[in-house]
Amino acid sequence: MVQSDTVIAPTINERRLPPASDSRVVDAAWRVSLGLLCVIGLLALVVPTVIIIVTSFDTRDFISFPPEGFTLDRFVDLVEDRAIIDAAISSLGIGVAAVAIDLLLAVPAAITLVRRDFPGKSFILGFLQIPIMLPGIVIGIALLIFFSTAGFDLSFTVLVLGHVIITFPFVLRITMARMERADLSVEEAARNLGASRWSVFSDIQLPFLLPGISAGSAFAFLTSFDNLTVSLFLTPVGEQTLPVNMFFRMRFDLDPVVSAVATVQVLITLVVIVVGVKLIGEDAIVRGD
Amino acid sequence: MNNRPLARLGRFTHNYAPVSLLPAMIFMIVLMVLPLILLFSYGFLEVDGNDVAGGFTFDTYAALFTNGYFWTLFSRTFFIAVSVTIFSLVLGYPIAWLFTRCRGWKRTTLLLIVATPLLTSALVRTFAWIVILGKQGVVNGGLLALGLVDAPVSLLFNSTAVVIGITQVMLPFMVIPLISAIQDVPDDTQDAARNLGSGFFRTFWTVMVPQTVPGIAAGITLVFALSYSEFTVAVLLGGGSFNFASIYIYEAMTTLLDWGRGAAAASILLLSSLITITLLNIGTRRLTRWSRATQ
Repeated sequence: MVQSDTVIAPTINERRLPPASDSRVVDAAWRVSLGLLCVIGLLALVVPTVIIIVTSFDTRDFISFPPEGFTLDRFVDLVEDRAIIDAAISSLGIGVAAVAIDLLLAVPAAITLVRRDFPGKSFILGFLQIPIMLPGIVIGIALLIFFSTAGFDLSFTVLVLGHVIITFPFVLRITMARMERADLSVEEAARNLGASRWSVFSDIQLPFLLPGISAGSAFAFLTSFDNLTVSLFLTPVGEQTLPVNMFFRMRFDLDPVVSAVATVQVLITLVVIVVGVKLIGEDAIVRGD
Repeated sequence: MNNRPLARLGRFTHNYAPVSLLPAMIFMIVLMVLPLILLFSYGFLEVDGNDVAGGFTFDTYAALFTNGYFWTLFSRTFFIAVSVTIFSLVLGYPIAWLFTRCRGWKRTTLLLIVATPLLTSALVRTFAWIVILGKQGVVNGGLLALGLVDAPVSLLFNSTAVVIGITQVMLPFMVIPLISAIQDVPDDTQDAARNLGSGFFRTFWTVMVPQTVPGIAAGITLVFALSYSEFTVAVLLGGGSFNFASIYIYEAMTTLLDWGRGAAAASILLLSSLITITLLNIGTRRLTRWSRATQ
């Protein structure tokens, strides 16, 4: 412990700080307040999800909490609701198509951006990630104006292209992060032993990238499947994606079937995360790559 | 297997690296850069409904900037985004700090709690707040049971509900950059501070916080940018006439079919957001240099 009459002359910095004998009361109070904030924050993150799941089994014909009984009626309603099923199928198709295009664009780009050096590389890297910083509503409106000016009718294709814009940067980043951990010497050895560039790609790079590609695709798919702001502007008349359908059901009158849809979505997300953590490890998620 | 054309293609892309970047670049230029240019130009064109009717004009912007409501709208949007950012930081920092101090199953559970909302749609999470704050909601149930109110009161459709809803959606975006920042603080510096007689409170403020300024800056920037242009939560918890920039833009584009005004307001939203982020970055760079200098 440092005594107040220490032999060493105090430096400027030490003099600026309050006296070294810190109050235990202050420390304890600070510990308690940090703990309290943790509890509030974690509750705010968990409780809504729990409430969604619990209300989806309620017997009443309106949404309320706490529930009064247990029934699977809302899930039966969900399965029988043609509009929701159609919207979910559309969303599924759009998500799969968007991820497929994402991969075609992102995987070659990711390998090149990691392996090669060329002028303007950092500019291109930044440029390709711009959509992450753009508000969804701005992308939606810009594309709506663009397609309308270009004379295209809103269609499934237009929606897919819009979703590629918002999901592509995630696939690129996650694939690049995986590529950065690839061992260059393995590729060089293969090249020296006579392998073609194509076989280096298909037999070495692609298998190594697979966990990154899967995680990136999963993330991109969920982003597309959940997207409202871009779809809201690009959905053709008479068609709906699942979020657009849910949005209109929630906006004016809270339809109880929404709670069942929400529960299913939460469960799908949980499965994807658990599988994702197994695939790429939890540190990758924390680092955000 | 004979892959000669492929091999040639491989050699070609190897020699001219950007060739394999071309598909992505072309895609982004056609479907992001061009639409954005068009969006900006729509605000400067005479637009009738959703069709360009004439040439260059300042009228759309002039009409917006001379309208008092427009200034209220954007200052309120800004204020809500700032409130959300502050609440997310206050709640997010302790969670990130707790995460770095947990190991094993506790750590995995915390990660699940933080990451699940990140991948759950904002619609689903907003739905929960309607259940909690609505007329037949949890809070009203409690108030009625305690006899504090006679009839259910609407807790939705006001700024408090919007701030609560957006904060909950943004919290993970704050926690994740903070976790990596706190993890990077060497344990030695805290141990040293403690050994020199600094208590928990002082170690936290003079050792932890200054060293995590870059992470705080990253979280603040991300959360501010996202909540400033947030739409889903704002419109569902605030209602269609709630004063929020994105709702105004949505109404202009869909209900009023005034694309000129919608495009102009969207351009202002984007530009003001970018300006704020840039100022934040400059500010935090100064702050980082200052906190290094005083250490």
